[in-house]
Amino acid sequence: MSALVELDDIAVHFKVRTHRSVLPTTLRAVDGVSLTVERSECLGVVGESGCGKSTLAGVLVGLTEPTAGQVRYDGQDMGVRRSKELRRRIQMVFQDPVASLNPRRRVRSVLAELIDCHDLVPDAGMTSALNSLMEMVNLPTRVLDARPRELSGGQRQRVAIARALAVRPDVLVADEAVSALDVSAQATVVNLLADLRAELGLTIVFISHDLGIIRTLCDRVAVMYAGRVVEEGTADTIFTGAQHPYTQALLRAAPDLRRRSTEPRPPALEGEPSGALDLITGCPFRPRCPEAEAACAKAPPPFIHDGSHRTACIHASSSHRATADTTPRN
Amino acid sequence: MTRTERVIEIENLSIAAAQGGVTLVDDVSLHVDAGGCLGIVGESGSGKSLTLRSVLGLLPPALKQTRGSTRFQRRAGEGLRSVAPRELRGHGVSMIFQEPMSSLNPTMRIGDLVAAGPRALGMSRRAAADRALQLLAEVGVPHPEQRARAWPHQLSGGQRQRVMIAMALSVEPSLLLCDEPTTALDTTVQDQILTLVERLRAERGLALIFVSHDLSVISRIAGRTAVMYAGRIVEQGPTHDLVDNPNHPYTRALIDSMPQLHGPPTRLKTISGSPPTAGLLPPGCRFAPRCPYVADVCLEADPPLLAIGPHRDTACVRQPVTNAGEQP
Repeated sequence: MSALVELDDIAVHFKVRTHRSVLPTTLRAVDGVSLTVERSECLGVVGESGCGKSTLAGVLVGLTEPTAGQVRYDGQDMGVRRSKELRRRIQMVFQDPVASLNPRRRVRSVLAELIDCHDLVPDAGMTSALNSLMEMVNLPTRVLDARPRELSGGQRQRVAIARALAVRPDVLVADEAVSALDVSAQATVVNLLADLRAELGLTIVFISHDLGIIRTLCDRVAVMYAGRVVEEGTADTIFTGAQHPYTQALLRAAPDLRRRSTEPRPPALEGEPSGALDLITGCPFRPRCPEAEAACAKAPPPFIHDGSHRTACIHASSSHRATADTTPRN
Repeated sequence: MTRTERVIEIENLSIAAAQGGVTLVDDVSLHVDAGGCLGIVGESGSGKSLTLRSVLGLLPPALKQTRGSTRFQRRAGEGLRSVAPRELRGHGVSMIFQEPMSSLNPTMRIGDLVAAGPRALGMSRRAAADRALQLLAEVGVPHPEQRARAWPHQLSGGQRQRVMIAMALSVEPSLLLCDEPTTALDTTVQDQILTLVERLRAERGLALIFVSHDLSVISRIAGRTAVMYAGRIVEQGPTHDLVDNPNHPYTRALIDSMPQLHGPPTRLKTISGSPPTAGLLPPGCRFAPRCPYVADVCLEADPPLLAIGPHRDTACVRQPVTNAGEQP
């Protein structure tokens, strides 16, 4: 039994010119990432800017060609040039709906074009197909005749989701899909994604820097740093028993409404993510890691597995049993 | 602990479009004590940034302040005195912004940017350059001597924000205005900047007004919080008290719609509808069309912001009924 989507040792390297040298240097945006996504699962990918999470999204939907590695769909290699049918199955929701929706076209024409292109419904059924799409994303059907600028931010993002759903995909890749929204609109879109997953059995790869939303929505979480996955596990183990020093720092650094501290505390983590151009031998997190030691500089740490949980840190204990939250997910 | 002194008092501030007269900020009053931090939280369009900008008279040309007075204490023990916004710039009040790249002059070196404030106050070139190095060190820029020679574009987002804070401190302000200074930053860098601002507040006795859309950031930094909705303050009080016992239905809805880091994941609560457009306010309370507790009386008049307990003000007619923990 293979997973629905498998990323096998994906690397994306870009040649970039810098002011430092005449020769182009290699930017390792994604450097050896392997991930699997099961059918109807929601995988969260979390990390700071420049960690490669958006590049990874590009690889998933076929917008970015990996330098090395393989993307498999249902066990089958998707190849470099995907067939139209395979492209249809993995769809993306972008961060900024203003930039990702054509401002001159009405919602109806944007959606109809996609449905037409893939011959999904006969012409006679188009109106009802569009209406049911609007219903799916909880928008009134009059939105079909609006242009993007006439809609609010939350409505626009729901149109962007409808655009992705129009071609009946199996997998939705949401790249910071709620980051630009106000808190209340954000809650609506997050709930919508949760509902769509429950109703349609949609598989979701949810990319975000916001740990709270990842916690709300995802079953499994992969934490990325400097182009690599540094820790992966169920949401419960990541949030209650994180093993990697970076994950732990990220959780401490996230502002929390309920945390009460009167004492000033030092920042959770010093320094800033190193640029992807800087070559760091050994563990990429080493320069910022409070637990770094000589051994960390030797080689990139291999994953230490603990059941389905894996941590790329030599300090992670394989005997660790995270205190899993036993509350059933809704 | 010495008696806390009020640093600034703004009363009955209103801001409207210069043409058409649409009111964007309506009758906002606030104050901050020395060493205190007031957080202003609200969604986009709530008027929180306009309120902050008007303190220094930095409103866009299409807007004007139609009402309101500012009283400011320039030196400790001097007492509050009426001032015009223009008088405060560089003299007691500094401001830091969300996007440090667009707020730093790209044609000036870091050291010169930070030295500009002391220079303008009459310090010699050499003394100002030394002061700049001290300030860069104080805000945690590594290798200040090297960094002073760098250009803004050579710095990371977090370093730029530190430089902007150093510039703000260079005129020895007693009040620092912060307009979403950490929104564009990564989580761990945001944490560092919040720690820095918190340290400066404690060490220098700075008064802060910190504006953010994120209540969890505000709850980390601000002792007192004002919640703004559609141009008005709808609730204010000590931050932790306000988070634990929100009185206004909007504050409560805002808190409920925020995803939580801890505990089992729960479905987020949403607020129906969307905020009103400026100029098209609903009759009565501006939150009424979205409010789960709405009653007939809410549609008659916009409720004023009234004290409902020690240090707690709420603009809701149902007070103190929601206070009793009643659920709709």
